[in-house]
Amino acid sequence: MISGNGNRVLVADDNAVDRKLLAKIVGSAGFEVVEAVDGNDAVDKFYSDKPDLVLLDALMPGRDGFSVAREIKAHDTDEFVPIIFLTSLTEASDLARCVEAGGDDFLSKPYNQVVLKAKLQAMQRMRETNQTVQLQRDEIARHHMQLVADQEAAKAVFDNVAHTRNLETPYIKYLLSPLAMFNGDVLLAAQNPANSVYVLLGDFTGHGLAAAIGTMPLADVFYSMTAKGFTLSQIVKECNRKLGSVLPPGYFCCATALMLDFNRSTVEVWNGGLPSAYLRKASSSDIRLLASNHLPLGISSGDKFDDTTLVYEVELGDRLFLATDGVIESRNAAGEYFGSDTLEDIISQGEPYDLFDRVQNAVNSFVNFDGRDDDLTMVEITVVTPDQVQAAEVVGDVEALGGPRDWKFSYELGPKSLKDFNPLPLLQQVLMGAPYLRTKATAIYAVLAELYSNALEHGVLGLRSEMKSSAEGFAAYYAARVSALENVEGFVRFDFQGELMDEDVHLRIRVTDSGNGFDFEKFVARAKDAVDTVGGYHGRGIRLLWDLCETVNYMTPGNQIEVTMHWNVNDE
Amino acid sequence: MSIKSQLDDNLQKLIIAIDGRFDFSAHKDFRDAYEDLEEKPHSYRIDMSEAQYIDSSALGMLLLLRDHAGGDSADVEIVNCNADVKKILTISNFDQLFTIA
Amino acid sequence: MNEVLNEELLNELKLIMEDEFSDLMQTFLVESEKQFLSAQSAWDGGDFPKLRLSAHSLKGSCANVGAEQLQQTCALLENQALAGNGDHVPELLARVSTQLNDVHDVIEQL
Repeated sequence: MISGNGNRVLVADDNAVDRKLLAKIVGSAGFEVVEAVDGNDAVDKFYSDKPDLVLLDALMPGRDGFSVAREIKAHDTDEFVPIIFLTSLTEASDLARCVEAGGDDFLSKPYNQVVLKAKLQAMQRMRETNQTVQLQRDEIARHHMQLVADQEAAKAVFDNVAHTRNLETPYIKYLLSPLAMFNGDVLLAAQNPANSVYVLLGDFTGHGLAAAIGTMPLADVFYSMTAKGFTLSQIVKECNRKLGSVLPPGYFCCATALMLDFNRSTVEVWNGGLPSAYLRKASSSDIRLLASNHLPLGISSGDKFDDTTLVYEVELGDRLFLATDGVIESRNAAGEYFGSDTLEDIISQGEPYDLFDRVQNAVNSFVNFDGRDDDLTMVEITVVTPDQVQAAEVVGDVEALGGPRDWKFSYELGPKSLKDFNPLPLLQQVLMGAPYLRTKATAIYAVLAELYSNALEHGVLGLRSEMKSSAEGFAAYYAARVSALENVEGFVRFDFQGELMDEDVHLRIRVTDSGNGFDFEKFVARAKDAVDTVGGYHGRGIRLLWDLCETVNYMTPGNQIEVTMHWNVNDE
Repeated sequence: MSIKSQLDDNLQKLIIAIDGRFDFSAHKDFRDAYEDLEEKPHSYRIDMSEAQYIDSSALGMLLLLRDHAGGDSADVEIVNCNADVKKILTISNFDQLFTIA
Repeated sequence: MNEVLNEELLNELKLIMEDEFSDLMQTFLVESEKQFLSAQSAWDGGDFPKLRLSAHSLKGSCANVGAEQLQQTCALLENQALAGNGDHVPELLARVSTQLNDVHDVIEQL
């Protein structure tokens, strides 16, 4: 048990007889002995010889044992160096002084070698135990550091995957702990080619790695599909399919996904399993609950998945508020929940602009505990004008004048495709094959989207846009759209023609539908009158086309529209 | 938290009673309650009358049971839920997967 | 000899010290003499703390070599010095001197 290290004993006693006797006993027990003849010598030898155990006379001339012990104990921050006081002191108060100074044991004169050896061994065991504890502590500290490093790495990966920088815009406020990933919370935001803003707030089952693991495929699907212009329904459907295939059974993701179309002033929502989101009106204290009406993502198998979304009218300054269950399940010292009623009151009462801060402050003061934000994930999106939304970045560095210089193509969708296929991502991708169109990608997509929804909804399905002139009608309109698509007949055809002459780009898009047409002259006249009036429920679409296109022309009987766009490649 | 299970008199239905908080700590007990039965019962009843609270990992456990019981053809009912428990099941729309009474 | 030095303890000391036993004893002779002189001069100079320390040190050595009577006298002297009471010091110093001589005699005959 007395191994190479840890067997050096410092014997400090001014009395030569006692010192020699001790040195002999200690030496014969197999320890290496260092002798010190008084207190100052003891301190010097302690530093120079680094003993593993100290036998210390209490009363010595010069510096006494108590003072030496205090210095040794103050020094041994990590290593445990036991001190045995040598004393013929017998008063309890003297012994107390020894303990106070840091003594671990006593030995009284006359020295008994059996007792001394036993004490040496006991101290040695104490030292070893202490070393084991130190090692374990160091190991735990190492593991902890590793864990922190891993979490930092994971956070970096998470930031990349979740593109958290997309959240750094003036119209999004959010709270998301750096460890949210390990709480299973995920918040994603992106823009589609028409600069509509997509947001997904998710809450995976469980904690730790199991909760974090679904984040990547979810973010992957969300970002790639949003960038390509897929609809909200298509995106949540694919997220569901993807999570269903990667998550183990019993794991799922409660989520709310929404799409804010600032051009049309609509919000489209899908909520599966998260607490109700809120739409707070700017102009009144009205709130609308966007309640969960679907199973969470990752549970239903493909064809059973319900991708039905709800569409609501929004106005400038309206606020959308989303949170995971951390908010309403916050508890105070008495164990009471914050609750959805309280949350609802806070959101509806007071001004809309500080809604987010009000909620955050209310939760914090409710739980009355600092650092509580770690478990809260919440986000607020403000409805702004389209020009307040920064255009999505143009990807890649392209030779603007390369690619096809004169081309045309047609693309026609029959009834089975119209029912549930969205042609816009595909068309956008084909068009972007001409590099000189890419700087106008957003405008082109917005035009395409407008033309297609008009052709489909008004032309093929025969829905009347006047329906949308009230909030109730608005909802009814989208409900009618869903049911009409079930038995859709007809077609929508696109004819594209593009040309690059010198540095001038010309793009012509004609869209023809199988509908009966409409009184477009009256429609155009009314829309022109309404140009200067703010708000209003219809005519927004045609105004968007006028803004973005050089010419906009309907053809009799109104089931065909042709727009042209024209710009110089050097234009901003 | 405790979980007790028993087969009904004609051995057709397994009744699993949850007592206390139904969360991840119940994971093993809950699974033990329905796995390793000699014969698979035709239907299942989860009795929540003594359950105070469920969390999302409990929802996951319910999904696992549903899978075990045959997925879409499973016959699993969840009964006697208190208001809090029912709310959580409702938000997640689990009434689409289970009979909730 | 029993009255002056504890024989049992001495024998044990021999076992422990082996061939360094006589060296230890020689050290005792030298050191104990020094400590006595130091005590004496402390008393002459009226230095109670030094008197106490010398008496204490001599007491410890005595304990280790089994000079039990001398040890007891040293303890009495130490207590007097600690209390700052000089009434019995001359008497105790004289007793230490006598007993120390006895111990030395016995040791030299070993």
